[in-house]
This record gives sequence, structure tokens and C-alpha cells, in this order.
Amino acid sequence: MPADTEFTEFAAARSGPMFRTAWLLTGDWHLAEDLVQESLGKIYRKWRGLSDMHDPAAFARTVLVRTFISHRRLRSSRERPAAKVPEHPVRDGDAELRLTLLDGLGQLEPKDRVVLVLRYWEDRSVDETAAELGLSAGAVRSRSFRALERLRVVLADNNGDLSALGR
Amino acid sequence: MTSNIDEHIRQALRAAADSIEPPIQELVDGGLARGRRLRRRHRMVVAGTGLVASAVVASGIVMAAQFTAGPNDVAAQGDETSRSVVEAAPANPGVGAADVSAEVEPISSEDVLETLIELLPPGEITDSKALPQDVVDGLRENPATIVTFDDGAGAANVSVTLYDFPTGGGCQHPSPNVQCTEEILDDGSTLWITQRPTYTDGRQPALIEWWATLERSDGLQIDLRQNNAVGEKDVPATRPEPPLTTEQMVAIVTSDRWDVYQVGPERQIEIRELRGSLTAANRRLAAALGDGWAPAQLTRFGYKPEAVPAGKNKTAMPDGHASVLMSRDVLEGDRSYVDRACEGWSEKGRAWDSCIEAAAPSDDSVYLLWSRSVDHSQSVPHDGLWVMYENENGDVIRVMLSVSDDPELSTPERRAEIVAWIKQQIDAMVAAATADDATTR
Repeated sequence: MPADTEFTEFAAARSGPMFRTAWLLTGDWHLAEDLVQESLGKIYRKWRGLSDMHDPAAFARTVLVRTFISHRRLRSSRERPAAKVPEHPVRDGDAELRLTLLDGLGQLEPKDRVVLVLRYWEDRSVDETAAELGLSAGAVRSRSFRALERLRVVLADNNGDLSALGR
Repeated sequence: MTSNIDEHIRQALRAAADSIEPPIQELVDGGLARGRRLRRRHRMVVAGTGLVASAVVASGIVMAAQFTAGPNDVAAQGDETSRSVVEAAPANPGVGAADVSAEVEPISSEDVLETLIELLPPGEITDSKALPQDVVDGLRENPATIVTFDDGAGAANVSVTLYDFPTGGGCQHPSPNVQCTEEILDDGSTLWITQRPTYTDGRQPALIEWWATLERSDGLQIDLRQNNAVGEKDVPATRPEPPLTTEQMVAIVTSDRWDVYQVGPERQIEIRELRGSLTAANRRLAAALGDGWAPAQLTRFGYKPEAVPAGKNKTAMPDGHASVLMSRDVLEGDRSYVDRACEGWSEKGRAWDSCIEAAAPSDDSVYLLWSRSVDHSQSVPHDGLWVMYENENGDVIRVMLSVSDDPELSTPERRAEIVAWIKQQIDAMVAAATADDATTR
């Protein structure tokens, strides 16, 4: 199969999950788009075919997370803007509460945010999250704990409640 | 309680993520376009890769490269199964990724281990490792191997790593307790022999390392290291000196057994280009510093542009000082770096103050950061100054001046003399930090 065709198929299959992760990390439609395109670009640069990849999903996730962290380093602002309501198709659901969640995530340190997203959205274990971020398992646990505490406070301030969000 | 929260956050994130419809086509098209752009820029990327690689080499991890087995490589033509793992690894993106993959045969750590064992003098090898060549960020780690070798007088580590780019095996950064010699051999390759304590800061003075590094004219570097212990950190010395004599080390790195490993022609061209660009970068730095500075002679890619004292600055230091080095680097788009660095910190016997803000002639702010060794018994007496400038693109340009004194000769008066001289360099350093071409590669 020509390399570009195979890459395009890979990108079409992975970009949806990557975008959802990117959206949780950035809270912003355009930043998420930028992050995914940048990550796909990096993957394309090194592309030698799917057969060279042990775990394409994991590889895509790793590139995305590292690109996000280095993007964060490249940007001067320490806090991201409040989550923006996407001007794009959004499924039914309690949009306001979810925006509160994204706002809450946005107030966390970027690495703490990554820890939560990897652990609770990507379902990575503490050890896998630690390996992905170059942190110790203990550091992941304490970041995770701290981030959840912080999230609870933020949500309480906004009259939100974690338990309401998942409904 | 915790598990409830765990489950709630899991559900909440899922609900939030599932509520959107990703714009798949835009992502794919945009990703492909960026990827193609990145490939076109691959030569520049290789330069960047070199920087990363060298920084990592210093901490003992080796990074990627692309090697080819030469036509005489019996091993390469032989057992196919033993190299299937490395063949599956992506090629160095700098060499055009998939395009050349069919033409090159990567060298594995196992190959290198085999060669090292063959070349070691009589003795017992009690342990051996062919280090895994993981792919890190698209680059395969260099073939590297380490053995525990005992000639009867005590076991010690001996390791060999191959690089297809110059890593800075040279004697450019002398320190009073590091001995290094450089020799150009008849075939044009360069040989460095280094003898140093494992820790130059005086910790565990009984631990010693000896290295022999051969950089061939095709760019292949064979790096042989040995110490007088098994392991590196917090281990006792097993013998007074490492097991191989200098002659034995030289015999190993110059052996024609390494001839089967060759650097591919495309990579050689890249290395030449990178060396050329670094020479130019050194010249630009010296020019920006002005009178009293010359481009550093050795141009090892992967290193920052460097300048050395010349003319009036040559005689400015106290007699017997160890080294003076000026360098410049660019931290691209890292706006928060200045904030972080300016808080000051200390590590490995050196302390960095908090910053002093000053105005460049252009009225832009620059930040001066002084450093010094804080415990003379534990580290080489050192004084340094960084000048940092953030340009309009958010790049931080850092000009660093480092002066080491001889611990045997150093006195407070000599240090004061050195600091006074560094102060005289501030204008030149500010000029180099704010120069229009400071970010030119």
C-alpha cells in the first residue's frame, strides 16, 4: 500500500480519539485541532508504515501528550482560557456542567491535567501514566490526588458537583 | 469515597469527550500537510536532533543514529533472524525515513557486543549486555554494549557505543582533574584518550574512568569506556585502575574489525553540512562578541556555538586558570524559561543567583545570572555569568561565560580577578544575546 494512503487511513482511524483527548487537555476547539494536526504531522514525518508500529494507538497518544506538554512550554500563559463553547456539532447532554468540568481541568497545572486525562479518560494505569510522562508512580499518585482535590474545589465554587457530571 | 470520585471523574470525562464530533477530515488533511512540511525541513531537524542527542549522551543515555553495515560485514550477510528487531525500527527521520530504509542495514548492539568480546584481551567476562535500541521520538538508540570484565585483578565495566555523528569526544572542556589527549592518526581519524575521576566534583575519588574515542573520517565514532568498578553510582572501586591499559584501549578502537560498520553516504553529507553550519555559527558568535573573542576551533555538531578568548582577552586571566568558554544557545519559544532560571538554584556544588535585570542599548531588558562554585573542596573553582534575552518571537537567547580556575592555585584574590574580568565582558555578552543573527542556525 502506498505510504500516504496507509498514513491517511491510520490518521482517519486515530484522529477522532486523539481529538477528544486533545479537547479535554486544551478545552478549546481550535487548540485541540492544532494539537492533533501537529501530532499527526510528527507521526507522518517518521512514518514507515503500520507494520513498524507495535501499538499505533499508544504511539499516537504518546506523541499527542508530549506535543501538548511541549506546546504548553512554548506558550507564555500559565492558565489556559476558560473553555469555549464549541461552534461545532455537539451531542446532547448537559453542556453547562461539562463546560464547568473543562473549566475545572483548565485551572489545573498542565501535567496534572494530563495525569487526570490519561488515567480517567484513556484508562491508563498509574504505572503507564508515569512511564508516559517520565514521572515516578508516586508523583503520578500525588498529582492525581492533588488534581482531584483541586477539581472538587473548583466545581464546588461553580455550584457543580462531580457526581452530576457523569450522568 | 475515592473510588466514587474515580468513577465520577471517569464518567464525566467520557461524557464531555463523547459530546463532541471530531472534525476528522480537517485533522487528517492538516496532519498530512504538516507532516510533509516537516519532512521537507528534515535537514534542519537533524541539527536539532544532534543537540538533543549530545545533551542526553552526557547523562549516560545514548540516542539514535543510522548505521550501515559495510560490504564486508560477514555478520550482516549472515544470520537474518538476529537482526529482525532492529530492522523493524523506524529509520532516522533525518535520512529521509522510508526512502532509504531498503538500502541500509542497521547495526545492532548485539553486533557491537560480539566485536568487543572478540577484541578484549584475555580475561573473564562475567556479565554482558547488548543495550536495547528503543525508538525514542522516532530515533533508534545507538548500538551500545557493556560487559563486566575481569583480567584477574578485579572485575570492572567496559562499554562500547557507536555513534554516526561526532558527539564531542574531544578535549575541549578541560578540567584540572581530567586528562585528555588528542591525536590525528595517519588515516585522518582523530583519537582522544581521556582519564578522569568518575565524579569530577570530588565525590568518591577512588572511582576512575578511562575512555578512548576514535572519530573516523566517515563520521563513525567508536567510544570505549571503562572504569574500576562494577556499576557506576555508589559502588566501591574493585581495583586501583580500570583493567585496560591505554595501549589496549587504542588497539580496540583502532581495530579493523570496526571497518564493517560504515556511515551511509547521505549521512556523511549531512554531517559535513552540519559541521559547516556550526563553524559558521561559531564565527557569528565571535563576531557578535567583538574584539577579544575568536570562534572555537573544534566544531562538533550537537554542541552550542562557542567562542574562546583571543587578543586582549588571552592574557586577562590569572596564570594557570583552567578554562574559559563562551557559548550561546537559543531556547525556542520558551518564554517561561527566564522566569524559572531567574529564581536561582544550586546543584552539584554550584549556585546560581537570582537574576539582575538590565537594559540593552536597544532598551530591551536582558537578565544577568551569576553562578559560582560554592564548595571548593568539592568542585572545581568556577565563576560564570549568563546573559538572557527574550526576543519578539519569544525565543530566549542565552549567552554563557564560564571560567574555571585551578583548584591548586585558586585563591579568593584570583577569583575576584576572574569575576572582575567577567564583568568587563557583559557588554559583549549583551551584544551577542541581542544580535540580529543570534537565532540563525
